[in-house]
Amino acid sequence: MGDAIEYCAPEGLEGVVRALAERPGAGVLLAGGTGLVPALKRGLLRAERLVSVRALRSHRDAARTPDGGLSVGAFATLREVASSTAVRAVSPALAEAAQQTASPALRNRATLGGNVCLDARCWYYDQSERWRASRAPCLKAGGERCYANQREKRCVALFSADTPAALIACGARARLRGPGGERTLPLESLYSGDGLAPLAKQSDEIVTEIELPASAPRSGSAYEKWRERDSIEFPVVGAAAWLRLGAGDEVAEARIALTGVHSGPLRLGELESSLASRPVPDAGDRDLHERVGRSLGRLYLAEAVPHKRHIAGVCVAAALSRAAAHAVRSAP
Amino acid sequence: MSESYSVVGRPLARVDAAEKVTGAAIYTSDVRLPGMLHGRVLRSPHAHARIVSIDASRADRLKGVRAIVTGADVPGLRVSFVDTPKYPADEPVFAQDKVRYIGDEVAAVAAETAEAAAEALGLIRVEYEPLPAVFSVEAALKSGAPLVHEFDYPGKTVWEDWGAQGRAGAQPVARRDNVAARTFVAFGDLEAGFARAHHVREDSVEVAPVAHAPLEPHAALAWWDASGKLNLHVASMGIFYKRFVLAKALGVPVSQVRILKSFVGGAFGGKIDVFPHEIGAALLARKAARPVRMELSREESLVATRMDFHAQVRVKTGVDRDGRITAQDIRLVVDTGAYRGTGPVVVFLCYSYNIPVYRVPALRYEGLAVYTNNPIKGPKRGHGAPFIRFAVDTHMDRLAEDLGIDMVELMRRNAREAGEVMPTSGDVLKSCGLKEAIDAAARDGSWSTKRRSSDWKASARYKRGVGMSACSMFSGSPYYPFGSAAIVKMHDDGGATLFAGTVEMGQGSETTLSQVAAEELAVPLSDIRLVAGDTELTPIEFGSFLSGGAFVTGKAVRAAAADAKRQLVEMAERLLEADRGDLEARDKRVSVKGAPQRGLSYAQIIAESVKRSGGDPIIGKGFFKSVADAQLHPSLASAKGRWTEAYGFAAQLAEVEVDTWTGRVHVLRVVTYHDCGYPLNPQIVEGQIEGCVSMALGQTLAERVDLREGQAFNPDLLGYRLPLACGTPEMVSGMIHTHDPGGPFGAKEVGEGAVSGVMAAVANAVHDAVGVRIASLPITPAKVLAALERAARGAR
Amino acid sequence: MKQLIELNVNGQTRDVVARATDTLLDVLRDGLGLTGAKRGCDLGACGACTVLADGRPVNACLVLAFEAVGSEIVTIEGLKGAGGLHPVQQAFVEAGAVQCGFCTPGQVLAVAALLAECPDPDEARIREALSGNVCRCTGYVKVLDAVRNAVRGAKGSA
Repeated sequence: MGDAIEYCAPEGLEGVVRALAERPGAGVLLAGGTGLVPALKRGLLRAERLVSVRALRSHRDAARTPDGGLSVGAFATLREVASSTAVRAVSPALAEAAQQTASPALRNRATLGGNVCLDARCWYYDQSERWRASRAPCLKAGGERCYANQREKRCVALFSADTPAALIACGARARLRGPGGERTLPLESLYSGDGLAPLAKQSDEIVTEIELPASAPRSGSAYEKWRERDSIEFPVVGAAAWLRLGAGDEVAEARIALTGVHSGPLRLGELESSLASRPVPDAGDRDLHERVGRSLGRLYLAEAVPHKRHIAGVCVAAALSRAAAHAVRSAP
Repeated sequence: MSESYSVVGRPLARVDAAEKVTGAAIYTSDVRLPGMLHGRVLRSPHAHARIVSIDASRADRLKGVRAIVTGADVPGLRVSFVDTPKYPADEPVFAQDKVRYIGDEVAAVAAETAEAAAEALGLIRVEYEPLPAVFSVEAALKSGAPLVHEFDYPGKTVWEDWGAQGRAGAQPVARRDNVAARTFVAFGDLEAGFARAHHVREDSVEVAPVAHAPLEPHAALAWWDASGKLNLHVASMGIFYKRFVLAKALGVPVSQVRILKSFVGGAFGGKIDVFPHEIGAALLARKAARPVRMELSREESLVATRMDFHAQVRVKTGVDRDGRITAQDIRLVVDTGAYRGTGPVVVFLCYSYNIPVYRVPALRYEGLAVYTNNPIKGPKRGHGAPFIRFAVDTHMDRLAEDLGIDMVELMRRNAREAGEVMPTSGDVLKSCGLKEAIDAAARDGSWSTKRRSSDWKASARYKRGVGMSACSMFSGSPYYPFGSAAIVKMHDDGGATLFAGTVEMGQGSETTLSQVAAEELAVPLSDIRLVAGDTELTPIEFGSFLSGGAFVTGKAVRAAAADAKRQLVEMAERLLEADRGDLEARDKRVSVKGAPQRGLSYAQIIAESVKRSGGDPIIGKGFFKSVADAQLHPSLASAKGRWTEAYGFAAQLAEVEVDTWTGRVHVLRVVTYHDCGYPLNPQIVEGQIEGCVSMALGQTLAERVDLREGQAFNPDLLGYRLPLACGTPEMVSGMIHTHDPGGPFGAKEVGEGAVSGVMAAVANAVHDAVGVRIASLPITPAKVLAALERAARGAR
Repeated sequence: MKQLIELNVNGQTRDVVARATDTLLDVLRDGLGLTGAKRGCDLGACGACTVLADGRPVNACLVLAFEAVGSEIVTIEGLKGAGGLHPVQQAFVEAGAVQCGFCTPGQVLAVAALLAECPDPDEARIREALSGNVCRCTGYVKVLDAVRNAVRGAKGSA
């Protein structure tokens, strides 16, 4: 991987920001390493300097905020997020998404910030150098064409991280720090939808905190993940649902976000609107399954496209159903 | 048959378990030698291309590079597991004129560091001229298809070295097509058989290629010592076979090659071949005059060594009113990949593993192995039995449905019994527990109640079903070194050391062989030390790749222990002035039957033997040839000739729950009854059954090498879906003791035989649950859901 | 950049030379001769390289060596019981949970870490703890038996 790569582990956030800024475009943030190290091994990442958060003491906790919301440090591990009572109280979807990511050993290292900033994936791209030598480099690797997309010159790498779907459904905001200062934005705005560069931030900006608002009364959330095996793998589809129940237990408001289907997390806005003022749909509602499947648009990088559409529908319905159950149990 | 043994038949803890749980066990890539270099292989990125030129000069000049080899260093050197006059070796160790699959070896380098070796690979300039390629059997068999191999190269094949009759001529023979091998068997009157059938049906299935994926990737460490001998640590399955082929490839006498013991981290058939990276390590070590270690990456191990076959099987069967088979016509075609691999063997085995299960009075069988520009195929646990048994028993389940006969009853009516003679080989089923296994599996699996009870079967969303299948496996067959031998050396304290060439790759051979020796020698297991897996220190050993470990080597070990015991008894005879017939050996003593105080310990006997009888410390020797009355080997092309001494059998029942919303098949329970003759160590036998079932479930439901135009799109363990702990079903691992008269203590094979009954059992269970049949493996949720939707539309 | 770093491995301070891109697995096996952690896939998908970092299982192939500075690393060679095998190791031996043994060090450490944190896990918790450790030999049946036996054994002697 190269003898020349530097490594540093600054003690404060300012030091981390400065170390990244000193190597514009060639410094990379190293948190858990579970995304970065495979990319280095495969020759997908050209880095001159690894800037580690190992020595940082801040931004590692999940805690309730004075207004009843939640603030989770970007460098909290997924295991910490999954097992946090604070997280579970405010967003069961986030706890479930973190709990179902990867495998136990990976969750002991992977961080929330790393998962939120995970690169989009493609089976033409996430391969060894030797494998990729069988064809000219793809768009994402700096070449001229996308092999997964025969119709147009556009990278369709899939965004496949679990926690962002849950976070977006629960109305999360992300705090970023860069050389120019700090900014906060809705997490949804962090995603460009472009498989080539899925994150709409500068390379020297770091996500430092994820904030969730206090749970509205009679609201609940859930995350439903479908993968071929029950551990290790990325989702084929992950569906997060948040809803708030009205006086008659109908859906007052709903938010649904999917991962694994497009080059960024996907909000199902039309479906959300259509659920308002209606009873919570049944997990087995076939109409709902089909509507979700139709709302996904063109799907790339799926082993079985019709099945994936159907599974997306099953996952959305299941997530809504469990979110409603949680809402009913929550304090009025 | 007495089963009151002291050591065999007991679930004793494995002799290698403590070193493995503490991390002390040494595998090939754990060995470090002073001055060791790192080796890497340069592989073709093209599926089919002519090599125009290779220029390694820049790589040669790179700091840290110590040696490079290419095809020019080994012109005309070819290897193959199948290397016979009819099927001469076809795989160049390093590509000569062209490359034939993505991953084909082109060159190898050895350097001071892994990084320098990787960088050197990038500096070797290979100019390729891509050629049209074929990626399917259909494309390869079309007239005018590009030839994967233009010539066969008869030379002195290994089978001729081993005594087979050669063919005249050593000139390259031009090839006309991409057929790599063919087995054809016909007996009985097929037309008449179909004519008298009450019902005839034909079904086809397809099985996707799967990977062995043992946890240990392939690795080899080679060095030449001062005496000019080649030494290796290598992940292998048969050290004597590997030694022979390496010696031949490198042009040195067999006795100048030593394979030292390493534990092997799983193999399942994928490590028996002699691979270019192994020969490359030896060549580089010779050039550099330093040890060279080749550790393949997981990707290389998965896609550029061997994988299991892509198979298509068509079965047509006629049955009488009672469901008894009157005639059968089977056509099987496998994609064998860019080199023959074990294609010629698997098409023979798909007949040979199938014929012992059901009685078939008239049969036509044709098996074809076809070259393509896909990765090379080799033997994977069951070696063909999985696909032929999947084909036949899903077909039988349909026949049962057509006839309105219970599947288990249909199986029983056609199942073979002890004493039957196999039609082309003349092998006799000296023991056969097939019917007992079927009955036991059906009983323990609650077949009758679960097939019929609707309470158990269904909720709105989840539907349950059960399915059955059976299979057969051999216990060793003629292959170099054609037999095993063993030595039992007594120590002066009465303990012993067993010298046996077995390779411990997880199957427990070190333990079971030690138990056999201990039982025969009448000592506790703790009194047997073992020297294993080293061609210098142990006599010839049959290898752990033909399911002959227990049978062939077990008998050699037993004979060696018996020889040592005989010598002890003879010496005791003299010392005690007793008659041999009045003496018994038990618990490290020889004493008079009924008067145990009139006896001597082994230690005393040995002391006397050494000091008073000329110095003989008592060393026992034993040997056993597999299939004593076989010709050199059976004919692969016609399946004629004696093949094996004993057949193992298994019947398996699968209980599944299908999620009709997603198509996912949950396996709740698998019941296996395995006729292994006699379990030398029941805990080890159970472990083998459980491992076989797990591997079979993976192939049935999730595993598939996703090959597209010759390239695997899932060449790592994230994308290649091995079964995980969280998905483990309940397993019942039962045994039928048929006490084979030929096996050591009645034992037959275990280790491969419990794979091939799982696939059809699961597929049949899915049909029982939701009424659809998936005729291709793996049975994915997408396929199940699509089938359910088609059925629903059809019903409307 | 090559640097001498100090790692805490199996309770001992060890000096190794490493580059920024060397992993903990590289350093354990090649630098320190601790070959119990195995390279099964090099991508964190099989668990054969599992070691404990501050008591928690991690895939050493994805931990950069420099990142391990300051952590207490325990490899299989450092797992011991009072006078011999650790109870989890003993349970694996007795239950027949070891076949080829390549995945065994990783599994044993994952289980030891689980039981240290949760002495009486239910079946789901046990399976989850092992869900990142791939085994191709055992089918997991006797591995799960071993864990249940270890739990029972610990309760019996408590």
